[in-house]
Amino acid sequence: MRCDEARAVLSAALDGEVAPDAAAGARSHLAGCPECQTHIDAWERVRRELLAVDDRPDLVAGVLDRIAHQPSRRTTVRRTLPLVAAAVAGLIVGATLVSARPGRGPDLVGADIPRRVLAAQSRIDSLEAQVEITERGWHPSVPVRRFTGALVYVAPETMILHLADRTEYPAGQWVPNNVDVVVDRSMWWARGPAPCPTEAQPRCTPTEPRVRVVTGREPFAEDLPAPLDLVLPASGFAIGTDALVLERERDFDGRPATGVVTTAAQIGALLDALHVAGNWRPVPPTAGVTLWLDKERLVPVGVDVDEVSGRGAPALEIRLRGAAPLARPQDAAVPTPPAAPVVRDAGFRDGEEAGPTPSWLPAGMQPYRNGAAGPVAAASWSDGRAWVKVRATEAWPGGRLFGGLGEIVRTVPLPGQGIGYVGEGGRKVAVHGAGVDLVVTGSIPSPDLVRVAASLGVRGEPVPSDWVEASTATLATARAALAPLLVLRGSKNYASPSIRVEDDTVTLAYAGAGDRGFVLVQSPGTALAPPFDADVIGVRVRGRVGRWTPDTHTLEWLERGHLIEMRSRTLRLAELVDAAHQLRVAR
Amino acid sequence: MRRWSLIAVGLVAVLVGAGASLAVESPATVKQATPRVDTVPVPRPEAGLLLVWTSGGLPDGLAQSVSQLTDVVAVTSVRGGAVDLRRSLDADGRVLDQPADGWAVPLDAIAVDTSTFPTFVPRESAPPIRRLGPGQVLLGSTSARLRKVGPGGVLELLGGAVTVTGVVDDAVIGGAEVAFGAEEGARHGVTVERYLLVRHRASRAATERAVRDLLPAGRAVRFRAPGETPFLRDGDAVLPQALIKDRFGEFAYRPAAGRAVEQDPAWVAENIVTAEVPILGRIHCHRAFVTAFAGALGELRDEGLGYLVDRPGYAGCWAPRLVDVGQPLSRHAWGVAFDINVLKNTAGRGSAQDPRLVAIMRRWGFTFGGSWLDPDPAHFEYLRPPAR
Repeated sequence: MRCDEARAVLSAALDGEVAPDAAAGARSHLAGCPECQTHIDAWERVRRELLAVDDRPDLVAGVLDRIAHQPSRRTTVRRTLPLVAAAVAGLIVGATLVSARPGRGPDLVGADIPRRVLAAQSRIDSLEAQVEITERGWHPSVPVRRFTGALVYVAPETMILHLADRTEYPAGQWVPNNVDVVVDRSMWWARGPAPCPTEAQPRCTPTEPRVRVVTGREPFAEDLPAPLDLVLPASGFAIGTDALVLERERDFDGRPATGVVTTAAQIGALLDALHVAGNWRPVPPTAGVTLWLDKERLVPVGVDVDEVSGRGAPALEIRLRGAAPLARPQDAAVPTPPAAPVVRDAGFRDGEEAGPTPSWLPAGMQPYRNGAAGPVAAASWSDGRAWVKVRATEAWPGGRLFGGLGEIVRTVPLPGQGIGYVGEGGRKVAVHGAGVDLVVTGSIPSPDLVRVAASLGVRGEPVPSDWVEASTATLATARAALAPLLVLRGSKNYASPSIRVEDDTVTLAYAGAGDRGFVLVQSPGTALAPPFDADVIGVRVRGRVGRWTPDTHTLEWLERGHLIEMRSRTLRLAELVDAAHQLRVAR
Repeated sequence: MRRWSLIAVGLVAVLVGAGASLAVESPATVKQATPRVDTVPVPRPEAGLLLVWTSGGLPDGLAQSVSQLTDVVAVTSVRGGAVDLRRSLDADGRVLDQPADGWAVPLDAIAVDTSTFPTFVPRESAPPIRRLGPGQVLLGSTSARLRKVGPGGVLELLGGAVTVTGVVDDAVIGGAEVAFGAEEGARHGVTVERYLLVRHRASRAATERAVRDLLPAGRAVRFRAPGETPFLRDGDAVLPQALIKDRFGEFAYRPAAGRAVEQDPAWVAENIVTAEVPILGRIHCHRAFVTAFAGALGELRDEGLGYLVDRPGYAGCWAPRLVDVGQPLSRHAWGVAFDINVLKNTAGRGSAQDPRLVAIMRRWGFTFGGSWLDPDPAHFEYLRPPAR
């Protein structure tokens, strides 16, 4: 049952218009749909308030009848009653008109979207769609390029993306940008023109496409990714509890979609799908983006990337037309890889060692693939597009945490199992145990990754003092090292910071949605250093004179005897300044 | 009348009801359609103040020409140069510094117009500048700390003795160690016009265009506004000499042949060390500089970029010399600068350094001469501690 159908039935049931038995189907929908539950709860509250005015469930007919037939009386009560009745009737009519307007799906509001996108992963088992792409400004001689193609997805990570270049190129040696990306369990292949700088076009692109074929692929391999965010942009909503949504919906193929206003950094994983093969116009992470999500399925049916200037037609438009589940996912035909000069074996073998197994997984997760690549064992589980993977090794040489968590991490308690380290804004949880190192990754919320890590039966120890992450600190430690310490407080858009303390320098890394985030460095200081570059800009930040260096994407200023630096390649200057204004002294 | 009231109330209620329903459907507020990132203006610091400087001194008459521009409100021209300190005494006449005969401590000096310059500094710093007279000098705060001299103290310079009449924040005098009035400055050889401070009514772009039009064709010029650089002075891409001394120490020197100098042997023995570093092998640098230099080279090696440093193209770190004859001491004299890949990176020309090498050097705190107004693309020197 669809959300709008369920809501209509339940609203009618609340008003006694539908027998309780007849609403059973809608109630079962409610059990699995927190959005509808919220809607019905709210509607019930309003209804109760309305009933408090006149304790009758069916007001409209009676009130109108009274207005029409009541003779005029001179008492105050009698003069007032029709006005109250008119008001009540109007309220109900207005509310009914709005609720009953056609085409309503489950409403997406900013605070809903991240949670709903993550929750929707388990409801997607397959998808097929026609893909249309319009790209502007790739080359001065080719102002517009158009592509059509198809996307086929079967959970958890089988992907077939085919794009045919429909552009009418001028005469010359232009090579059509036809692209294929195919992922099927351990097989990964891509075909497209060899990368070549735009300014060297058209001659630098070889006429023969570059073909890469890889076997022995690990499940959910980072270096050989399946572009899952084309199906559902979970990576872009794993952090943050709010999103900026457009006031107006837009129809895509007759289905309403909600526009989420953001920057390219938030949907980097989605846009990266286009850059696996072929030549494309680069998209800076700070470019403005409107992401159109199908209101019901949350499939990204449209992506509009602004020109950096913010003017003119979008630099890139992606459309998924007719997106719908496959009738028979099991019959999806995966094309065989083309002939390639070299077939690389990534070394993963299914069915071999699986490493530690979690005793807890999110409900619905089923085993996907287990195996090993050399000394690293990996096991994975999936539920629709949602997935979890545990990688483990007993042969980690040390120096830094296993799993590529990035330079700055934070510690997290593993209940009853010591400590873990969280990196990449919560997308990875590493455990350094006695004789074993492991990392838990996945598309599920960060607290669930921590819970999986805690259930592996491996006690997490602090890393040795000579490892990179040994300077990882808690907020209390950081505050003791440098006071007053500024931290971001009350933001819905960033995860808890990863913190590092080296001498009297404190570094906090804030990860946001997708690739968005910034690093905040604080150290004692009484003067900014001279600028590295000619192109620097004086800005006012937190009521002080600061400096923005575009080349290094650094905003710096002096405050309370400290040199404060904010660095980000994924936030615009205005966003950084805005984040700076949200900094507060840590307590 | 009654009917109209009912209808009006009913209509209003319809609208309220519709609004309430929308509110119910949207438990969180639906935000504006325009992204906030596009609507937040980034405020700029004080508008209407501009630093103008050209390499090697300003062209003759530039200050006068700029002052005649329609939208220029005020201009002051600042002269700069190096002066030699022979001896310093505190207010009670006790000797503080006294290099041996023939030796001197180098000081970075400016000379200002005491009538126009004070309008460009904070109100509280203006009076001591206005009062600067013959035989008097102001010290920057770092300089005063290094000298241990305050008001009433005396600096015996090569051009004569001057009395310290006050101490001002480094930024007030562009990071210089000492500031004279123009006439006193001339007595000490501080005569080259180095930079202008300009207060203007027009936009920055328009003012820059107007000033450029006054310069000889092809003359490179740097404009800076407050906030862009901590010290409004010429050569603003490097640390002022006072801050180099503050971090790496101060020494006495005496001229040798050409641009070579001799440095106080005791200072050299205490501060210049020989160390083994990745890629280059043995180097001679300031002891407090070696760690960052070695770190940068180590990172290049670890990243597989060691080949970007041409071993025969390394032209040294510590070198006791002036920037050029008649110019101040080079940062090489402190052992806090180095030249690499000199064979392909000629001073005054474009950089042939690999951007990855430059990025790593910057991360380790070295400013890159290739981005200077007067490019020196083989040159890197200390600017700040390594980035974390």
